[in-house]
Amino acid sequence: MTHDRDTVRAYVDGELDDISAARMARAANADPEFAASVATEQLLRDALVSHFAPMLGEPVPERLTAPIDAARKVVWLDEARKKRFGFNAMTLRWAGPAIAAALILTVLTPGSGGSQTETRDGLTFAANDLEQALDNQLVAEQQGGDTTRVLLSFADQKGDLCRGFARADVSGIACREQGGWHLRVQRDGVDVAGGDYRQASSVDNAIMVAAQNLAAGPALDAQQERLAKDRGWRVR
Amino acid sequence: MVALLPRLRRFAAGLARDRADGDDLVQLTVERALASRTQWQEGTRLDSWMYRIMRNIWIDEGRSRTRRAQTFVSEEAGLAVGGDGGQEAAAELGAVGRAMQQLPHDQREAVMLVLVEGYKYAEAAEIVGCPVGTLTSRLGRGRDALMILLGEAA
Repeated sequence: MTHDRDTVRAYVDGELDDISAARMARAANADPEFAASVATEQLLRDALVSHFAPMLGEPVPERLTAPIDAARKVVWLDEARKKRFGFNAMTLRWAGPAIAAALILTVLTPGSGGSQTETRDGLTFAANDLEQALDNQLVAEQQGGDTTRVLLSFADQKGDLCRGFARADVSGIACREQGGWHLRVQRDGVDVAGGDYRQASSVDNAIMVAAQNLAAGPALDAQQERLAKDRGWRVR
Repeated sequence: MVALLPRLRRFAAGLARDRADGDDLVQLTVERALASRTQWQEGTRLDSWMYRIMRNIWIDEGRSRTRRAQTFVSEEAGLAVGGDGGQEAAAELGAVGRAMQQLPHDQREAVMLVLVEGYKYAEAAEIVGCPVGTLTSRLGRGRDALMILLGEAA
C-alpha cells in the first residue's frame, strides 16, 4: 500500500481521524518500508521538540515577568472583588497571617546547601529539601526549623495542585506533574535571616500575584490542604 | 500570562536569530498584549492570541533586521565566520538550530507552530492568518528542507 507524504505527515501530526489513523498504524505494522517513512517524520519532530525543550525549564528573566506583575497588581487592586476566578481579598485574608507567621518562624534558619532543583526532560523540578518541603509541609503547621516557607496551595486551571514557596536560595511556584514538583515560576530567593522583611514581603507578594495568575479558584484552606497531602497531591 | 512565558520564549527562540533577540521579542509581545488586553476575548485561547501578536511583531521588525543581515554577509558566511560572536552563536544553535535558521521565515514559523508548539493545522493557520492549505504547504516545504539540511549535518 502506498501513502503520499502529506498523509504520512498528517498522521504523525495527529491530524487524521481515528479510523484513518488506525489504518495507518496497521499499515506501519505490516510494511517495514512504510514504518520507516513514518519513523523518519517522527524523528524530525522529536529532534525539533528536544532541541527547544530546555527553554521550557529555564527560569524566565525578571524583565519579562515584571511588566505582567505590575499590570496585574493594578488590576488586582482595582478589581479585586470582581475577579472571575474568586482569588480575592478573602483568600489573602486567610493566607496573610499564615505568611506572617511563617516569616517570623523562619528568621533564625539559614538556607541549607545543595541544589533545590533538577532537570528532567528539559523541565525543572524541585529536588532535595525543597521537594521534601513541598511534599510534606502544610501551611498551617510550619515550624521554626523549616528552611522552606510554603506560602499557599491552590489548584490550577488543569486541576493540578500547585504550591507557592520561598527560601533563602529560590522562590516560586511548583505544580504536581509527572510524580514531581514542576517549577512553573522560579524567582530569586529571599533570606529573611537578615531581617529584611520588606524584601521578604515583596517576594511573597510577587509569588501571590503569580499564583493568582495560575489559580483556577481560591487557595486551599488548612483542611483542603491536608486532604490534598493525604492524597499525595494527586488530582482527584 | 506568566505561565505562558516559557512557551513564548521557546517560540521566540525559534523565530528570532538568537536568544537575546528572542527575549526582546517576548518583551515586546508582553508589552503589546498588556496594552491591548481589552481586545482579547474571554473564552478564546490566550496563548494563540499572544502567538499571533508575537509573529506580527516579528514580521514587522524582523523584515528590516533580516534585510540588514543579508546585506552585510551571506547567511552561510554569517554562520561560519566569527565576526560579532557569530561562531559562538552558531555553536550554541546546534545542527537543528542552524538548519532552522536557514529556512525562509514563513516555513520556520509553520514548523515552530505545528511541530514544536503542537498546534493543529487549523489553529496554526489562524495564528498566521492564512488558509490551512497554505500553512500545510509551508510546513511541508520546511520539513523537506530540514530533512535535507539535517541529513547533510549527520
